[in-house]
Amino acid sequence: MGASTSGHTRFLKPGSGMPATLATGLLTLAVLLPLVAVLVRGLPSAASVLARDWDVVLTTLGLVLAGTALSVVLGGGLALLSWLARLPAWTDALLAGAYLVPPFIGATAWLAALGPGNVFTGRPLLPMYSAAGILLAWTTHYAPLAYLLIRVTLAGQGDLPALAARVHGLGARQTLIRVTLPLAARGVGAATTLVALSLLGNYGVPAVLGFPAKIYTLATLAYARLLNPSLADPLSAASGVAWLLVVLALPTLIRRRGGTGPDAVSELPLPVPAPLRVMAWSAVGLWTALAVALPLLALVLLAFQPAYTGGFTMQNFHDAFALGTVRRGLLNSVLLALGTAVLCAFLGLILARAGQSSAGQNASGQTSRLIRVCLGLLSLPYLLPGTLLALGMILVFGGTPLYATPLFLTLAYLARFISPGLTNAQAALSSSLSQLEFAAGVHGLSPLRRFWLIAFPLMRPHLVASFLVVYPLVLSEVTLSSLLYSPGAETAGVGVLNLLSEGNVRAAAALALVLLLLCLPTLLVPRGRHA
Amino acid sequence: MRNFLQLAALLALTAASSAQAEALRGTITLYTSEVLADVQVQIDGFKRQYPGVDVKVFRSGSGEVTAKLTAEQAANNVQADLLWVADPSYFDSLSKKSLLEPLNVRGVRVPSSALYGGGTYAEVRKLYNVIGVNTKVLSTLPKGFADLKKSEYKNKLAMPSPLFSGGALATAGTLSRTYGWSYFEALAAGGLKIEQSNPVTTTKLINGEYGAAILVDYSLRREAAKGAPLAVIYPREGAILVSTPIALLKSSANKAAAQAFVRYLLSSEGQTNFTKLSYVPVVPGIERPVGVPASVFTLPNADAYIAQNKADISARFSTLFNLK
Repeated sequence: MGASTSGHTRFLKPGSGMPATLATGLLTLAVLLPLVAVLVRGLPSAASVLARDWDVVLTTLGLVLAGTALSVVLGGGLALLSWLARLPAWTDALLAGAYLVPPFIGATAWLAALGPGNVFTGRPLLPMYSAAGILLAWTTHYAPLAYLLIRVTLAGQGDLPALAARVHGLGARQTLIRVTLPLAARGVGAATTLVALSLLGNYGVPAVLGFPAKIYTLATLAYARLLNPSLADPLSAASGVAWLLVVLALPTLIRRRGGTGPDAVSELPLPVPAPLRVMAWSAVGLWTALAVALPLLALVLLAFQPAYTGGFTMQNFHDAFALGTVRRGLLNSVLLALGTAVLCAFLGLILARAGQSSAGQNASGQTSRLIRVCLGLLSLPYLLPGTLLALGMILVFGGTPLYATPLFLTLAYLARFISPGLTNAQAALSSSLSQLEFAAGVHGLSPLRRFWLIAFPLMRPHLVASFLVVYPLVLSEVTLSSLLYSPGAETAGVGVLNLLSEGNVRAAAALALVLLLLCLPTLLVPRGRHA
Repeated sequence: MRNFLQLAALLALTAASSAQAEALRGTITLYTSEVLADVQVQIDGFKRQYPGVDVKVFRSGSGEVTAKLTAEQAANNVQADLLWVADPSYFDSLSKKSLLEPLNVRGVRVPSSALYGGGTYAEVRKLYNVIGVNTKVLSTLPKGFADLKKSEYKNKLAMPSPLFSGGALATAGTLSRTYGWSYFEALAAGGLKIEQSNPVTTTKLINGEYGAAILVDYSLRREAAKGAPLAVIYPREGAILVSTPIALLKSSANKAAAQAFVRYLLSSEGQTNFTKLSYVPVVPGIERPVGVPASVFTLPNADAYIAQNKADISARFSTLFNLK
């Protein structure tokens, strides 16, 4: 730290530290209130959960570590190849498209593709009800997330550092290892954190693929505890599990951010070696065929085939849309997703800037310790199972007029998804950005113009990335919505889940396809380097 | 002449009830674990008779619905007027806390056996836990629960989890009380798999992942009608009645409309709707779905026993099948 002693801090943002800290603190408190309410309930059970369910803690840890490693390595590898080989922006749709499929739909699609009674052979092709099945569904869903985050960091890095290294005589491999990858570290770090937290809190995949094989993760255990009729106080027992999730998440919460962020968005028309181009396009082809086309085809077949007889039908779509709740839910979800994604992106940016300015814009863009703790705490609603946040929301806001309105859902979504918005915003605020702004300040630009002319254009790719991360999450959110939606304020994800839990897999697949279509426009938004 | 009188009586009745219907307005909210598309059929029918009433639905699993309602009660902001879930013990506790309004079943022919808790909650149609068989997987069909212990069914059996499904809790409670826990110990030794819910178990039975499963009858009938290779076997020892009652909460702000909805479900039209949806009607004299015996022989009702021993049954079952 030691930022407060640097002279230009006060020059740049006179007196902005205290209010920013206060605002961040208040927002953190508001967001955390529901979780605090639930965690207080869980305190008495925490120790007994730990004593009884060590095996689940270990299983979760193993699955999350393996899933994170697979997702980041695969997603990062694809991002690197895509960047090095100058793949056109439309390939993002292929490489990141699977992220738009909600995890529980993805798991269902994989079951339909490879599981027992699959749409292709009818005989199981892979043991899907297993740790391997869970990792397959997780990796195909979260590697695209890692890809998105790392790809944007690479694009932000520009070609100049690598070019400089090459000019000074470094070989291609050495440039990659000593320049490109270290510069991408912040993006990789952000991706690792976000993927690990997402896996830790993911309920859909282990619920679909783990439960039949008696493979529990902490997220499904919390849920099982919540509904377990043999317990005297299920809410307390479930909340006890929440404590374990917090403990497992701690290493990522106190993670030190390292590396540097994007310097300049410049890509030069460098020649791409033919073998590299072949490798990159093969990777795109392979990923598209195995991770996207295969489960998607299974989903399409499910949606367009009548049960048992084969052939083609629109009946499944008709069945789904015959329900008023489904039609209303779709409209609600689109509005909620747009609203929440925009709010999350900008709120995240404001928070990240508050953190930066309160600490002083020193060379490393560090944030004050208090604000960093706040920002870490804000990720709790994202990583804890949505069910707990949902119950906390009811405990805290259940008695207010807010309850059972769409605004209530918006608040819950905001609390849950501010963290992904923030992670991107933090990546957006680089040291060079503050240096540029500082320079602009020295040259007499007002803070507003400084932000609009310099900071905003540079941060736009990250804002877009933040929007792209949050929008599909909200559009197909199920865990929170399934407890918090109210008659008249239904959501599309709840519609899919209900159809699925009623055993109407085909109507659910049909609705899931419609949701996918609604997510497609996000694929058309140009990625950072074209902004 | 007789026909004419009947017609006149019918017209008079219709006129009277439509005058009553005109008077009913407002919104009622139903919290339920029923299949949404099936509830929609009943709501559509109800709205044709009571156009002034809007029916909103919150639908989720029984456990989630009761968790939500409990949380709303704690916050003193209950949104539901009607509750319709597969958890009789929850109704029992609500009734004992005097949170339920006595149902007004005037004018409908509901048998007294379908009214519980001093008339505060009622069965509106019957679900039975039976043995569903995939006829492509099994060549010899089991005739009853005892047959499932035979070695030929080893590793081919499944049922939903009593920790998630109210229906499965009825199976676990009824069979363990009737035959002792040794019955489930034998099934556990024979590799009985526990799935999460009834629909998931049904889907996997259809896919041929299992040869036979203990689950609710109506969806088996419905899927078989669509062409699934399923047989519905009403066990010779007796089927297990799964209670899925409906109740009106005292906190409701629109009791008259809510009472009318319950009466609609119990009316001839509501009951016939249930038959068309493959459920067994609760009112006598209504035509039953194809394939349902004229009277279903059942094991003695164990609801009271289950309500009292819910924690113990769930715990023993969890230990036996290694559930969390």
